Amino acid sequence: MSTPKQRARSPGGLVDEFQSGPRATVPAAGEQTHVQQRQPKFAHGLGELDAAKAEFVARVSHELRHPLCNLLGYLEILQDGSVGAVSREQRHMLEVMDHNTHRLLSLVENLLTTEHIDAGTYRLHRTRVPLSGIVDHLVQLLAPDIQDRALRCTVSLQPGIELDADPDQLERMLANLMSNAIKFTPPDGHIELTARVDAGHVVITVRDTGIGVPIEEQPQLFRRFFRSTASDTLEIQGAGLGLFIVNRIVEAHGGVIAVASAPGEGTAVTIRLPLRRV
Amino acid sequence: MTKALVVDDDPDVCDLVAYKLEQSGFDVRRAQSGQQALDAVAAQQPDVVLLDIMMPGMSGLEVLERWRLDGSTAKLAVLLLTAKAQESDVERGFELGADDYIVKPFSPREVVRRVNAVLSRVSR
Repeated sequence: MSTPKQRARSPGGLVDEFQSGPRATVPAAGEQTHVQQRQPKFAHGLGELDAAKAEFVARVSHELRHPLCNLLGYLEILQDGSVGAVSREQRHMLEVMDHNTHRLLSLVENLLTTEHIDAGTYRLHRTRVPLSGIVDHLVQLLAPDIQDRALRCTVSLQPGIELDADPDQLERMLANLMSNAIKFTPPDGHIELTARVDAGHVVITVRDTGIGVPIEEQPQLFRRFFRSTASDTLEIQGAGLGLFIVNRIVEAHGGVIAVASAPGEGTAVTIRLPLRRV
Repeated sequence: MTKALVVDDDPDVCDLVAYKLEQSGFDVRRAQSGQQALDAVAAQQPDVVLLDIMMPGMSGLEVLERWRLDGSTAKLAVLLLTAKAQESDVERGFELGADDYIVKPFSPREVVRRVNAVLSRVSR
């Protein structure tokens, strides 16, 4: 379990900024001893709070995933037609329900990841991951969204890329990047996912021909709850957690992330992750 | 007919998995607690068990451990059902000899595929 002391040491200014607990106020001269005496107890209390919070997250995640599991499961069974013929209108309604249930699931996953980061219980479960498996699964999952928005999607992976990574987190990272590219690219646009190996690292780029991010907003992209001016103006949905989490996942894997973007031209997010655990 | 036992304290999840397996030609029984699972296996000797890890009272892992310690159920095909938050439990599950694990939320089609894969491995 993380203590406030451990959290202060965790890398990455962005995360620390949000993890900092209640700030101590400067005591008056006479209060000094009193404050010093109380500090250990206060620190102990925070540790307990973290433990309680971690327990809460574990329970809530269980409670949120079960209903979604039932919804998605029966939606799949209904859609495959095995319990009776599905009319065209019904199929459309089921697809909308399915799409929105997945959206809810994605939001839940992002919120839970954020909670884990806060509680200091964010952990990677690394294995040797073939990148193509994750990308194939993701592209299959996102195909309806890509089609809905009439986008062209190109995937080009150097064959045989494998890395030491947490497969769920890697998929979450790519899902958040791809979902941004889809959301922020107008119809008939192009999104592209490429991956290649370079000097012991995998370099993954998600590029789109979307609305782009103005230079003055770019430094804020990885801040929690940050939403670009354009996403508000154009009423593009989102909680502002996607890139915050992507950044944390990249950091935890010992990688780096960079964004290049110009309004009206598009955005390219490039991630560089070590192939072997460092 | 292949006999399957589905164990989950959430009755809806239990029904969902059972329904899909029945649709795919399995003879399915349900249990909603660790104790019910132990009783059901002793009484019906299923070919495969889908076992939820996080259950009140006796957890899925405790149930699995008991089966592995008992000669008559040591080789029973068991797939664990787990929420993503319980990865350390999955590691423990594999140590105890689980044959596979399925993360919630799952695709029912995928569950059937994985069950069949485990069964074909076991029968080989």
